[in-house]
Amino acid sequence: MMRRALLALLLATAPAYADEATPAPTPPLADEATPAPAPAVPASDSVAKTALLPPLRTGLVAVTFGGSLRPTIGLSRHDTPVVRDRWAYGIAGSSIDVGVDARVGSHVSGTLYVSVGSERAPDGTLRGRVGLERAVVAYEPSRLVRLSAGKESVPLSAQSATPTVARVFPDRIALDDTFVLPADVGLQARVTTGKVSGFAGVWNGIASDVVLEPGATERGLLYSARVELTPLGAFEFDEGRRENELRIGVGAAATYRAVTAFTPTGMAGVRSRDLRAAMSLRVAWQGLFVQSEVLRRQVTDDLSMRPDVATAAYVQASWRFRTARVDIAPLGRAGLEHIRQLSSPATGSSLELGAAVFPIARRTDRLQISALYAHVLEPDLGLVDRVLLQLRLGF
Amino acid sequence: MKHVLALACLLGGCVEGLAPAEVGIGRVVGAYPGNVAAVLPPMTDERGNLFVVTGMPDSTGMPQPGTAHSGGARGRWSAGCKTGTGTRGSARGWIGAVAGRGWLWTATAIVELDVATGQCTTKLDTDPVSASDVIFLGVAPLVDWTVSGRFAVAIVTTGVESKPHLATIDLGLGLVRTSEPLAVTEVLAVGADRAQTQAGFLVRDGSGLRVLIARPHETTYESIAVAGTATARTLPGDLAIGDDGTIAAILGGDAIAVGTRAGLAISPATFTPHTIDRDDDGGLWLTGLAGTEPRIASLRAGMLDRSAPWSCATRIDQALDTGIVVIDERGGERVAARWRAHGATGASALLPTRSVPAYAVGSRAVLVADPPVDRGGIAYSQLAVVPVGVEFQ
Repeated sequence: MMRRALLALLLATAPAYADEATPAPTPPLADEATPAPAPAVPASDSVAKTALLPPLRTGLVAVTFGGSLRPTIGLSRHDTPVVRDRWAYGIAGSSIDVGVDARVGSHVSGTLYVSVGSERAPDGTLRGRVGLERAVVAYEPSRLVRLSAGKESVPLSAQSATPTVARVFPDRIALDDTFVLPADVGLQARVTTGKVSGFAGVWNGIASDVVLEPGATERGLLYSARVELTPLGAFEFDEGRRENELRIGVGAAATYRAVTAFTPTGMAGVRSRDLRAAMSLRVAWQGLFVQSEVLRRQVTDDLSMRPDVATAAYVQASWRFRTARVDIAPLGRAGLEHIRQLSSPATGSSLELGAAVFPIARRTDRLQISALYAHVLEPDLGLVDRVLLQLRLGF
Repeated sequence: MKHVLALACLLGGCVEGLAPAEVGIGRVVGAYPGNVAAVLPPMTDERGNLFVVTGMPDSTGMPQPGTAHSGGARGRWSAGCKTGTGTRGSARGWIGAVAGRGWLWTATAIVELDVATGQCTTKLDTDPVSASDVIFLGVAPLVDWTVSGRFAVAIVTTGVESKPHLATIDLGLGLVRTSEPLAVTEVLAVGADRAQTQAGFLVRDGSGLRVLIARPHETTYESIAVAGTATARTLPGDLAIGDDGTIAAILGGDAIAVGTRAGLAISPATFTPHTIDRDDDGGLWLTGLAGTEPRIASLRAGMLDRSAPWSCATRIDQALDTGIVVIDERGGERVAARWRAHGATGASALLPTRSVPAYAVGSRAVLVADPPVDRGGIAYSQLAVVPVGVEFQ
């Protein structure tokens, strides 16, 4: 099975490099079908949780290698009058994520996570991407507390706080991109008990999704906090795993960033405040997993008098059940977002239906095959119907 | 309780835009001649980038060739570039702006402004197929943004084909995608319903006046009869389509055409109409001047209501005259100043020759000027873009 999966990945990635070598037509066909892959956002211990091979040990040091292969094929149909661009297909969602986790004794660890995939260049062509998604050093004075420093994802939404390899859906809901922050460098403290998990972080705040003038940079610390109450006990690491006991999680998160933009000449420019928040509800029981979130973003500045406000909500559900040979999980997700509510209002929505199959669930959950159909109203670009087929192999 | 309120505030939204008649911070664009330095109001894209074009009007109201600037939402203005040369090189109207690019039209070309590079690109001055000059009689203020590109609708003729055509234009590639011949002799007003992606033209043909409703990708169009006669303005007047189905257009001689898809009729306005503005709820408002007093009248159910003083416009003019804060960021550093300003597009800041596109919900960006300074016999003013809160009543 492993060899077949590797072969499938090789076959799938070959056209990716062909795309890279030959510029795509304008507009490109190959990269419209599937959005560029969301950066893998592994949790602190996702390497160790998913690793196929046992740790290599020498003295006090234990090194674990792990990751996932995600060959993805997408097909989409845009509601555009230009016949050439109605249908598009491609493998832009494919990636391989590789992580190394090194532990020194029982209190200190370091994690490096690299994602190799493709991304869309500013000119619309598809190009290869190697991203350092996570590089942290952590200190765990006890089983409850973990302090880390380095580059990692800023946990805001439940989606962004869930590692890619732990999601039962093949990708994040598209509207999450409006709210999620890029991975950043900072310090984070995590407190975890069976009934409460909390994150608090201070980040460099340079990485931003706000459009600046070319050559300008921003300076200002980003503060983040996320709390989830799980009164009936902690969830399984993997969303797709069957929970026999009822689990409920109620979460809230916020990030705040006050920054000054500096012009290319180094002069102080516009000052802005970026406030984002999320509230989530998760329920798992007997293979059923339901997650719903409300997300909010408010960016204001002292120049434009034009607040950038967005609000979104979604609900997703999966129900994993067993058949004679495989496990199957029907997937469903619906979302609604209002963007630029006080400036240039636009509304987007999505409805997704599909299924995930675990072909060797009797032995392991490492192999998951997902198919997802999405009917999406993009706020500015209109309707698109999309089909995604993904194989995910954890190793 | 405080924490609950704070959370509710966070999720419910405590951010607000400008209040009616509130004046925001101005951003200096440059120094230009003329008490009225521009005819067109500033344009905004969905990201908040700004586009400004100057052009002092002559005695007939026709703007002279001017300079077009693009300004980033978070700072920086382009150095500016000329819109064209000769009487046909002046900006006649905005087509629209999306994703950091804005487009305006002159009689002989489309000019694209790019915020990222600060450059202007002249497009479709020549038809790439027939290699003949393109003459733009009217371009609807509508950009259809799709995955395939940005498209507009225009009525054009060419150097070799004097018969006007309804043309679909690919703004990115600068070419005519489709064209349909029209029996049109004159374009009197242009407009659009952006929510429904519809372009509107009030035209004159052999049988009289009519409104053509077209979509950017369709060669067919809807034709609506207009009862009565009217003259054209120097520049095509505003045409607007409301959510309630009202269609209205401004014509020469202080006349307006109002009606629905069942038909329009021409009637005189009780004041000098300047623009037809569309509010955030899709309602239409006729605005203009009676003497020096701003007036406003609602356009509902295909009818023009009685006009009333537009107090919001008056209060904005008063606030500008009292003094506003402007920031000059062109040198790479923010330098603040206080101006006693006035509208740079006419007697009242909210009343340029063409309707003011929405800058944000409840606000418009207007072009203002500081008191002019005589330079060699010509009065020059510094121009700035200022967001103002607007109330239509």
